[in-house]
Amino acid sequence: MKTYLNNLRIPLSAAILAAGLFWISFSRLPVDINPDATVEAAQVGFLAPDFNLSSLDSQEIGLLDLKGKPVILNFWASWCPPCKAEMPAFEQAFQEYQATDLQIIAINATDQDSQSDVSRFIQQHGITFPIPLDSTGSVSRDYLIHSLPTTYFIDKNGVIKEIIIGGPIPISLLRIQANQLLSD
Amino acid sequence: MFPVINIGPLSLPTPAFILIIGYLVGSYLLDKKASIFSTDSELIDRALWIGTASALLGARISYIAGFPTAFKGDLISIFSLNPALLDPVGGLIIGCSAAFLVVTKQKIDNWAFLDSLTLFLGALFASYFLSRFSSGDGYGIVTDCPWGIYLWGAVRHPVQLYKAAFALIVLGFVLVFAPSKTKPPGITFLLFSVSTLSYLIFFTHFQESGLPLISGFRIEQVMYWLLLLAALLLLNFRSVTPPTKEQNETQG
Repeated sequence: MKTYLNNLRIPLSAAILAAGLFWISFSRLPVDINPDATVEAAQVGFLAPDFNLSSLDSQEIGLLDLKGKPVILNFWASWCPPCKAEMPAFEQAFQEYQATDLQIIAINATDQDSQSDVSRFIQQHGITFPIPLDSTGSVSRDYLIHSLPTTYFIDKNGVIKEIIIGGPIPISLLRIQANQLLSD
Repeated sequence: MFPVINIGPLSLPTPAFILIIGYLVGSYLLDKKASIFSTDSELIDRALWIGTASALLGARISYIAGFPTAFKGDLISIFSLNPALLDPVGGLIIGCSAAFLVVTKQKIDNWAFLDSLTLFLGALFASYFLSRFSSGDGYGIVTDCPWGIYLWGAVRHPVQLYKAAFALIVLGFVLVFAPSKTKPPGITFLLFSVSTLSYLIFFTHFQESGLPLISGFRIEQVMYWLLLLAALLLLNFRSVTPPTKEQNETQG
């Protein structure tokens, strides 16, 4: 029995390899087709869901309006310690990349926050980048926000390239992601 | 998809949590079953811990080395707990090298070490695929199969679950069939590799996202096939290699 199995060893290995090759060629895909990049979903490789929100100063901010520009999209709340801890890094990145196309937006989860706390936080920390208010929580739901902070890195075509759940995100990581988005 | 478990004010990242459980289960199995492979569980444990610590440290160093200018004026973030600042490939290479150095220094037979590692790897792979399922990464292609799951705007193959199930089946086979001291060292690991790579080649077909393509071929499948070729060659070679005097003695 053992000799019989030993004799089968090489043909069996060859059969496994041949089956593998057949399956790889069967799994071949059309080149340069990424069907996900046309569907909206809060996942890497998909189009970032569009939104239209107002900021504290009643300015309208929509994602579609930023098409052609890479976007760093952060979700935060003023009661969330890691959100507060990473805000200075976002402000620093905003200042450093102001001359580029990069857009930094931090959507406040206003359905679980208060506008007065948000306003006080922005003033205290000298935040100058746009802070849209998600008063109904609909954008947080579209982006499947389970935990704050969560940050999406979106390329100039509106496709999500990276998602970072949790924080605080250091400035070095923001620089790396920003440079990658700008070089895409 | 459940990327975060919220317990009161605490948010646990589910994928990391599942991976840690897989690591602990794997370590436990490795500890309990090391004697089957004629290895000292304490030495194997040491190699594993040193390998893991080096992998984590190496992943951070490798990441920083890739983007040194980004850390200018922000040296404190070198110590950031953020896992996004890790390079998994660099970490894997450094971790494996460190574990290999420990094994060589302790004069453990490399093949016996790899054999005892199979249970750990089996548990780790299963947890890795489950963690991908929880994060929604590595999702499947669109299907009309009744067991498809609704994810990212379509009903898709739960390919991460297929892989996790097969990882558990392979782990079960190793647990049931590995306890044989008559096999030359390395055979268990190579059989484990062949079965793991085979199901990975098969199920990658049902995966939507992944590494880029070369002329339409999925790079992942091609890499798995090359590793499968190496594993089969080594398996055939090891099967006909008579055990050394030392191995005969350690196998009693």
